[in-house]
Amino acid sequence: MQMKSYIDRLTNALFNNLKNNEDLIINLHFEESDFLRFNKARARQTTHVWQANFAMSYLNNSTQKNSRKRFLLTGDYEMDIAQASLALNYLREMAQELPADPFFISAENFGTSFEKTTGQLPASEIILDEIFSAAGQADFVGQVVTGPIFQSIINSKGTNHAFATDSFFVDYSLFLENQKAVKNSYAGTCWSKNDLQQNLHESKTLLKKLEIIPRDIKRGKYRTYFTPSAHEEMTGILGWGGFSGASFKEGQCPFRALYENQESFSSKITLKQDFSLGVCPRFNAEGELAPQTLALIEEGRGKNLLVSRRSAKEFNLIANGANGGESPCSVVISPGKLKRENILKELGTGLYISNLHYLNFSDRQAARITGMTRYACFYVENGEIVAPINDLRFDESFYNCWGKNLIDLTDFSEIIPNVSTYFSRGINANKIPGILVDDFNFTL
Amino acid sequence: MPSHRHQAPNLKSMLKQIQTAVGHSCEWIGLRYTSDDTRTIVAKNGKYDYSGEMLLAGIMVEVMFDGQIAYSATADLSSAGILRATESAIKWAKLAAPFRIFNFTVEQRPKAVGHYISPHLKGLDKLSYKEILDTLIQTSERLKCADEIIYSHAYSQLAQRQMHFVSTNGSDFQTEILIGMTDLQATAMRAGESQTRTHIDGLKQQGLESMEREKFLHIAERVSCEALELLSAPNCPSDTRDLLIMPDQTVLQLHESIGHPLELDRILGDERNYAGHSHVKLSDFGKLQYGSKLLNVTYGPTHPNALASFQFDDGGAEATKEYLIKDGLLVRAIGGAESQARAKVPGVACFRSSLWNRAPIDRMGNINLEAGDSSLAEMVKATQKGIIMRTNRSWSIDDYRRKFQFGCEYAQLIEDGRITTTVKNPNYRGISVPFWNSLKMVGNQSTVEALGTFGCGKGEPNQGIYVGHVVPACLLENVEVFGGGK
Repeated sequence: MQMKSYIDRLTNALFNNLKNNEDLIINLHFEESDFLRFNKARARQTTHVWQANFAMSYLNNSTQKNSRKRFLLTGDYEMDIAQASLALNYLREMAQELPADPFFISAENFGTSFEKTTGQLPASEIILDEIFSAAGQADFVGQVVTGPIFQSIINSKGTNHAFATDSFFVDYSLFLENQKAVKNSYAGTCWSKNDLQQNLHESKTLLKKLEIIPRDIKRGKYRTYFTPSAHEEMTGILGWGGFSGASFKEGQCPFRALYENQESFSSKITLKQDFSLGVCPRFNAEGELAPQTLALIEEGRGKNLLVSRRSAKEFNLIANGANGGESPCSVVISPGKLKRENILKELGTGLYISNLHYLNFSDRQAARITGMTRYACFYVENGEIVAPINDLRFDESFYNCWGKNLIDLTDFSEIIPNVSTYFSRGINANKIPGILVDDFNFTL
Repeated sequence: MPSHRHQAPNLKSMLKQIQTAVGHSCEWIGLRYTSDDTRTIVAKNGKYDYSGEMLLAGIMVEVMFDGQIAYSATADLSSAGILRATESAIKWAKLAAPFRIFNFTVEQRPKAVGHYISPHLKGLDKLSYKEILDTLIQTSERLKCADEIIYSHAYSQLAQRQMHFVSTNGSDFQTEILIGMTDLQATAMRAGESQTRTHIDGLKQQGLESMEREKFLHIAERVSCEALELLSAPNCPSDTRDLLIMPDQTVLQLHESIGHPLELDRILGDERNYAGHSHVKLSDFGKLQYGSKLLNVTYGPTHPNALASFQFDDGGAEATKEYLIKDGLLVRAIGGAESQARAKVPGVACFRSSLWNRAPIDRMGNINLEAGDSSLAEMVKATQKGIIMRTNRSWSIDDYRRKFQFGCEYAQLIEDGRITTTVKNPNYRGISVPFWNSLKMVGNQSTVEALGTFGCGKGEPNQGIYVGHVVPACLLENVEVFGGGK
């Protein structure tokens, strides 16, 4: 099914039924996905999903009222146009019952675009063989997700942006008998048996380093290296209001002191939203295109907050193409000067952290977060890995680890794909370097 | 106003058509139709903010071939659509069967016949946006009672689930659940520092009757006063003292440090790549003293009004109340029929899917901490040096569910058996089994509240599901507590 032509036809028919004072904004997420779940290198569950989420926002420009409804398309045109037409009438009635929106945002023509990546996805008939062959005798656990995704926003003012990609990811861990593990992922648009095998081979090599008896580490402050993956998990929590204009105004922004210039980070910290990565669409749910790059933190100083059109109207700010949640996409942190081959030497004696788990703010006002170490984490002495460590809890403020305690960032970065699959498959990735910090606070 | 919704399909007729079309190419077929109709209505700072509806309805086809179960979800409810989904499921069951983790049989899909309707007085068909918004706008206005309150909201969510399951071994059961929840919040700010108080009202099975204006207005006054009070409060001390957690914190403590580690699929390793493993081993059942003798934890799917009450789980197992921890001893796992067959330990009927497009996995349902015999006043009086913590605001625990840290919005010190000073930014940390073994007193029925969470995350693909917890206040000895600051 050609989803682009299908949705264009469906929305055109709907728009023809609008009255002069009305607009519609349509958001579509379509995917046809295979989710293959594994445990102990055996097949646990397989799920095939065909879904087309159709979100309608109705705007009555005369009364400044709006109403919203989301439902699923069936793929049968006659059924779908009947359902959507029924929904349009329902939204008209619903809007009548609602008050005027005090921060009503009208629909606008934000232009058209269609970005399409055609990939080479693995055939159903070979994928399981290739996974189990690459995993070999290892205790392989995780999932493979593969299939096409299509997203678009179309409004009755002429906006029509679409993004289509064939993509897959293998998100997995390899475990040892002693419960120590390595986590890795293989993601892309063109499946390669050789790349999969190479990825698994690298993980198995690292796994051997975890065979040593793990060491209990006492609570305290340690010089610590975080891999790009672990650093990305720290950065990810900042999606919870870290750069949101509304959160700043509503007292929930953890970087309030930074954006009020009462605090600053090391000048080595520059963090941008950068769509040149090409991993997710630039358009938001209203069809606005975000700037190609937007610096959120520049050389340690708060530079821009993310502001949606609604927040701009409510708080008298300037909108910059942010989505409604004002959370960043395609985050890029500028690399530093620490070379891969010098990481252990510069770390000296301390902790090497590959992954983190279950992060949360322990004091949002102080930009302080807590979380756990997970998977391949090591105690390092005089630049040599000594032993894996048992899980440790940390509790530390960004103002310390990105501030006075920051030693350096690596001169290389990794693109970490979003493997979230709540409701539907996420599309995003962040490009993050590793980070070496002093006196990182481990508490339990 | 009349809703725009799907006509539920005739599943029995569809199943017959599919059986005719696919013949004997698989051992068993199940069809699950699920419709989730969610209304979200929000007022902010005394003004209307948002209204939206979401209707997610589709069919999950399940097939069993050579001991492997495969799933295929489609929103195309036509006969042709269901047949395509069935063929896809059969294809994947056949491809995966040579690599199956266990040889499942129809025993894991027992025949179930029945109809559960959750208790409620007013259904979604009686919803008036105008009436609800009047209540929410007034409430959020009341929350914003002072200039220092810079933000307030009154957020309501009403969710109706209808599920119908039929199978080739005779299952034919329906579940209709209506959930109502309202979240009231106020944030106060002074000199660049903000403090937030939240009250979640009615996280339970109920209808629109939960939208009580006078009750909300009364709660709003307390919530905003407490947010203002916190602006002048000292930071929580950093030391070791007795901890009295109120139900809106007990709920998260129970959920994270007892609920998750008892999930059988975690113990079997299914979740190791995402949600995590468990410190509990299969050999611990019947042997591990998980808590003090006062700790009694049950699986309570029949508790009236609790968030996750039902008659059958999504695999067709009949849901009954069972003790998971009895007098502190671990006796039973949170695992459905598939996990029980794999692990050979006793479990419960907890095999649940979050949405129409996700396969069922082991989920919590209602995990309840049974009431004790102490009043709140008795617990305070019995404490020389302690702290009362209310309303979770931060939660974190390791992937084996041992080392946890929680933060709350509001706390009060207890000194020599009396409540004294209010403190801000309260946090505590500990290790699950020693923590529960330090359980000193358990609140009686007067302290019990039915709460839960809407979005417990787990599974690959990911699933966020509602789970219920009916819990009392609990007093724990010698807990490490601390405050905020960088």
